[in-house]
Amino acid sequence: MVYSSQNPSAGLLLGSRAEILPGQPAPDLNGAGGPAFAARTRGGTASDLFAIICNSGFPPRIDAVPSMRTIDHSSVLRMVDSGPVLWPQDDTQYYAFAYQRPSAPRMKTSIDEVHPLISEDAVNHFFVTPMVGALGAFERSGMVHGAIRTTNIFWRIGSSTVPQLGECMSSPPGVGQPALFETIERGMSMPLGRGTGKHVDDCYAFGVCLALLLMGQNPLQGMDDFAITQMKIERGSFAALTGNKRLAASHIELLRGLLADDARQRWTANDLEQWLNGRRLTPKNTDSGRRAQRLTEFAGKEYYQVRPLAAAMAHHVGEAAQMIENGVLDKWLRRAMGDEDRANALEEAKSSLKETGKNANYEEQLVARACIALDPVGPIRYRGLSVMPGGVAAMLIEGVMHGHNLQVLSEIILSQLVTFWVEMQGDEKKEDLPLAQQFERMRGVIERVSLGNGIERAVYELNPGIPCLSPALRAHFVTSPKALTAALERVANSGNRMAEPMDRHIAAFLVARDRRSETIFEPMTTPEHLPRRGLALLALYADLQQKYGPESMPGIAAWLLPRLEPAIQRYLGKTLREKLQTQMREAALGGSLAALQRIVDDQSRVEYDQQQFRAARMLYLNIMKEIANIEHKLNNRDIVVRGIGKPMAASLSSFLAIILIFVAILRAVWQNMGM
Amino acid sequence: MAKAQAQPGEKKRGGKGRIVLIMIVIGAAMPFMMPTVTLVLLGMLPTIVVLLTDQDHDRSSTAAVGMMNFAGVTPFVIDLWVKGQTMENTFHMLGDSSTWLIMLGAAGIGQLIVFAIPQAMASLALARAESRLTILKDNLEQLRAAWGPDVATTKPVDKIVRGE
Repeated sequence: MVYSSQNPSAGLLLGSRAEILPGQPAPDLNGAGGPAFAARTRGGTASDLFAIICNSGFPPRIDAVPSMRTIDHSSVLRMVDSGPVLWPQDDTQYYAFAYQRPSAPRMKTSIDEVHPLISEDAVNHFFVTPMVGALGAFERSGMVHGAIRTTNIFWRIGSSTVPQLGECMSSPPGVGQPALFETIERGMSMPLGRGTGKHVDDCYAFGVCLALLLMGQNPLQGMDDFAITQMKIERGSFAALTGNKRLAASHIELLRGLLADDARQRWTANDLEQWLNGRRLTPKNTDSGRRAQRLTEFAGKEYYQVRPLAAAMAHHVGEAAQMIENGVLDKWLRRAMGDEDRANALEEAKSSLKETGKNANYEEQLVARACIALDPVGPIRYRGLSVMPGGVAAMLIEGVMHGHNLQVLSEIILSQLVTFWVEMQGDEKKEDLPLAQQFERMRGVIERVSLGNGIERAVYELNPGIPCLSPALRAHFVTSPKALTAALERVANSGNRMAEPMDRHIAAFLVARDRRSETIFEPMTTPEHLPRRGLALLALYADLQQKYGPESMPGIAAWLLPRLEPAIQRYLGKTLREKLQTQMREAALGGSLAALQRIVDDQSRVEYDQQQFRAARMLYLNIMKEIANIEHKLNNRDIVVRGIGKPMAASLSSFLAIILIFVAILRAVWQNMGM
Repeated sequence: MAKAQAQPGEKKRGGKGRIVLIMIVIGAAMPFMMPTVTLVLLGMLPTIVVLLTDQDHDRSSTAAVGMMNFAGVTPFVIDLWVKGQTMENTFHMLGDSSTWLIMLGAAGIGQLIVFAIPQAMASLALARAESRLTILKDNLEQLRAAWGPDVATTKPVDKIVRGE
């Protein structure tokens, strides 16, 4: 049975293994990326699955699907299948994920929910042990969950059933995550700009979940994200979360390891396994709370630490630029903080900006670089945006789709802020070098404004899994060139189509996903009346049809016909033109773009037609000359009389005279003979 | 160019030379053929008049009248040679009005041919030209219909193709 409005009990097929039941919402299982609905294994009857429909506008993590498929752990909700589905409620295609139904409700329905305390052993046995296994499974798969929080773990607190990590695929990592569960640097970033993060970020989130479980409540309840992050900066995450609460010694050690603000010191799944096996590790105190001997005043507030100062500088650009330029900051770093490294980094920030030689938004750029120098692991803070380098890609998607901050994001890439950020990472630099190289390449791409380049191409290059964002295709969730032709065929037949099947998104999508050369899109920007434009479109889609199908594309063929009219106008013979137009219409009905191309783009026929035209033009000229000659004669009768009549008269007269002379001679001869 | 300009002068010189040659021949023949020359000169008077008044470059009127005039004179020249070439026979013939009627009448027929035939021929030729003109104009129309108005221009084909 296939789902339809008349048959709502039938399932909507998702991939090859699951069926969604659109008539049965499951709001208690909603994800950050969209609402949940009941689902079942294909062909089954019990609602053993649930599906998340990714209609929130956030890009689902399609590129992480292969990694997620490899994770098979009892403490991780198993992803059964995924794929685009045509959602009947708004007739739009969305990506959807089908998961195994969790065996317990959410651990907490809100992060501020209070629960009774449970014993140290129960915590270790029923919560920590399985969760460490889950973290290990994610580490081995090379994937970051990015959504570990108490409201996304399915476990009845204190029960012996294993806790299960909830879904993490419907939105980019960190999007639905309160700052409480994020590291300081990710907490300072905008949710969409947090990036994928690293395994240790998952460990940190697990540490926060554990801290909340051990304390029976959220110790930072009532504080907003900004205040929570500020407190973490000032006191360190461990101190901010545990406060004066008395905890078991082993748990203190565990939480110190998990909540270390220095990612290099933070415990990983491997460390956790060692801890479970009884090996005791001694986590180091980090220096996130390092204070200066003397305060510095900035924007009316007093600062002893670098990180809060950097955050404040990003909000008061003018004053921050002044503080950097007049050397006050440098002196404070060297004398009050005694931090020569950061002072030198600040100098480097200033000199690197001068090297770029660009003066647009000078103060903003200076302050952004200074913030990176002061807080190297923190986000890039530029013109109101706060984004981790790995989060620029996801931010770009939102920028392109809704027009938010697109200019600022372009400037971040063009002014090489990501490269500077990577340079400031010290020992961790090697890990992020590919990111810097990728953004350097994107800088070149954005600088070129031609079709197939620009910010659109950067979006597709930086986000390998996202669908084509062309306004014409947004309802079709096109993730591959094959799906593109099929979707465009549907658009063509819908009647609600743009002037031609090409825009900046489609071009950029094909360059990024099908490795098409950008040069093939160059003729598509020429004026509409030139044949090159239509022929280039036809050549592209004929090739796509040949490579990916479908075998017949009458919709796209008919869509292209008006654009091919200038190519037909190259044929100068009217009869040939009419014949070709008829053949074109027939080929379009058949849906073969290659056949259409053979008709329209036959160079030998074009040349032959032009030769014939030149011959016709010569004939026309000769006829014109003859007409002029005849009209001249008609207007000058005397010339005809003189030219033709008088010689004829002379000839006739001579002829008669010769006959008469001959007769006279004969008469004379006859008379003489008669004598 | 110089050669082309020289040609009419040469032709003119050739024409004068021919007249001089004819006059030398007549002058030389005069002592021996005085009666014949007298008859021919007097009989060919209409031709001499036409020769002097003919404005045509190729002197086709002179040729037409001259040939017919000569055909009218020829029977009397033959008669003179048959009867004996004497001035008496010459004047006897010239004294007969029918001799003048035939010689001048033949020249008249020549003039009539000069008057009628060119007009008739011109009418015929122009009628044919008009018919040809109609056909040619039809052909032009067909070319325009088959190739468009650009066939009548000298615009480069590349520009036509580009729609410029």
